[in-house]
Amino acid sequence: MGKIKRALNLADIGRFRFWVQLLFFALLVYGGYLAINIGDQLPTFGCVFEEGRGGSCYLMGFQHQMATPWSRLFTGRGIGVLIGLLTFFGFFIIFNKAWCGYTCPLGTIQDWLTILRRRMGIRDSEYSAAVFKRLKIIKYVLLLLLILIPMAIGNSFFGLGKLNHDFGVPFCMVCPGRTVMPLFIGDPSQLAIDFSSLTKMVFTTLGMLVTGVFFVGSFLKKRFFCLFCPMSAFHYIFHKAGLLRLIKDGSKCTKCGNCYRACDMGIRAIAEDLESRNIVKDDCMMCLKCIAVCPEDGCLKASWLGATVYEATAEGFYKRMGDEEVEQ
Amino acid sequence: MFTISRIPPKALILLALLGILTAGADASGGDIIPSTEPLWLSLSPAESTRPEAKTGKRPGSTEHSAEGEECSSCPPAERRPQSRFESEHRPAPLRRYFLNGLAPEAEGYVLHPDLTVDELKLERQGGGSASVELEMSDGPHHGAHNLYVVDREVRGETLHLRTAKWVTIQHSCGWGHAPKFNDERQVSQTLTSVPLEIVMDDLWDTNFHSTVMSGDRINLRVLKYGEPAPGARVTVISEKGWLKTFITDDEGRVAFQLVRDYYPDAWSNFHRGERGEIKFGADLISDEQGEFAGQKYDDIHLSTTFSWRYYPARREYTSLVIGLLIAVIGAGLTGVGFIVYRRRRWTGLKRLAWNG
Repeated sequence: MGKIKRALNLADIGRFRFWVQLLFFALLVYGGYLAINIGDQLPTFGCVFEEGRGGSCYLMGFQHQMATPWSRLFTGRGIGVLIGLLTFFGFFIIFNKAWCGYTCPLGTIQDWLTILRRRMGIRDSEYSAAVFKRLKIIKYVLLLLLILIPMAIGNSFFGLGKLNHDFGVPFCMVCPGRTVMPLFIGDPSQLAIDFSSLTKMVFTTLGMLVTGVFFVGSFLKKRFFCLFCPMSAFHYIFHKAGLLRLIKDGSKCTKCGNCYRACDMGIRAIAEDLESRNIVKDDCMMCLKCIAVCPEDGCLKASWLGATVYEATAEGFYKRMGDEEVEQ
Repeated sequence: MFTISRIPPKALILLALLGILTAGADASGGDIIPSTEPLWLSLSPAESTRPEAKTGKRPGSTEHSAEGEECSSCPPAERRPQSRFESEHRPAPLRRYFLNGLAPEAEGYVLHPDLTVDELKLERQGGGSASVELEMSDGPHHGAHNLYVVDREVRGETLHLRTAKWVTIQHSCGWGHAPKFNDERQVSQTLTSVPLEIVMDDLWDTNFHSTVMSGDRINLRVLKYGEPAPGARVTVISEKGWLKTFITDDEGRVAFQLVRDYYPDAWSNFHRGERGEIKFGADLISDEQGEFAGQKYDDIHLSTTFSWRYYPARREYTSLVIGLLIAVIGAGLTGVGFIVYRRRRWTGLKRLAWNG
């Protein structure tokens, strides 16, 4: 048992993650061609607009269900909404926010763009603490909008008229997943601007603007889009129930800052917070790179259902430093 | 649907020959069967009860209130206009269709997606109606169901074998999409016991949504008892009365491009979900003698009908070039934004990392 634990702690998490991401990318983008369908309530971006998908993002169904009139939420329809939410929750707690770090195809594309940038010798970009703090609010605003806008389709707010059905899935319309994922099966149809109604035109225009922003932003800044992702905000509501946890022992932390520098999301608290034991923050994607670069025995660790699965060790740190340089 | 004045005289003659104009005509007068009128299945008992005729609403605009799921914002069921089109993705357990008249000898079948066949309940009130009961569940009933009504009668010295076909989709996204991977449910199925059948491919996508659009290449097959029927006359008529007649090739096939016939007055009146109805009729004379119900005949006239819906083509209201242009603008602005941001943060010092 001790040997297995030591082997795990010495493992190269970056390489492991690369292959897991590739596997999930193939599964979620092409799984449908192999008759695989994991479900439509996934806590990750398998896109419903992509025909070959092996599972799809819960946000699509969630927005759809939010358009239900309130009076019907207490009928059979309400049970459907509840089942959808519970299914999402069931999927989510298994991997917690690691759904973002290991399975999200949109996240994987961003990581590939980072690899490309690095190979081209272009420097990474970082946000200042103040900008980071301001930008991270955007995902909560988007989460609120993707709930409120569909609600205004089935319900009247303050006596105002209801929105038309073109507002149905507002986040999907601006999500780069809708425009980018179908490209992997050779379908460029989602790149078009839809002029059939003003609402569609505005949403598809915003969608294409975001697509352009996504590609350049993700090329210049690691996991650029994840800071704005409402799925990440949605995850954070439930993260305390996650079976996979990132735990920090503040008494062992020397504040060396390695974890912060390795963090693709640029979360400062991972280095500065010495009080919290559960160190999963709202922007964390649980890639576990922070554990890999931590030189203090037992300072950071990942546990699943209470059992430690990966732990920071000085031995593991020096072995990995010998294997490859830490990217700055 | 269309007015006689819009149809060219040549087309009127063909229509009259095929009886398409009288298809679905008011059947309240009883079982009067014109000699060569084809048999039609439709959602409403008569043309005059169509929603646009009664309410002035555009066709297809009542999709949400069509049979199927209840709609809180819709008028009570008895006051809702009957749509010409079935609601997709709103499974209804009991479905009812109307016929424009039935001969005394008639029977109906339903070919289910799992290829089992059931008998269709036929009623002879007014022009006649057919109903089918489907299970509201996932599994074998999830997919396209083919309905057939076949009647037989000798008139003069000809045996008329008339077939009306209808395809109805039973699907709910809530049931999941596993059947999309079942090839048998993605292609049109046929019933070999039917005298004459029109088979049209690519009617629905993998999620059982109708996919036929203006400008599409339509491929039809005409089958006589499941075998290709060469030399059959196929007549196609679109929503606005575009009419074309074809003769099937040696493999019983006909191919043509569906015209665009949706021209709203102004762009603000354009509706991408506007559905048009395309009607197909096929007939064939077979030089076979025999006897039916004690009456001798010298030849057999086989006829069949089928209808489906189509939407405006996506390219009528979407632009890929403008989309890409906007993405390039977004990318450019982001690039400039990053350069400016980096310059503002530049302190002139290089970060040093200890590598001890």
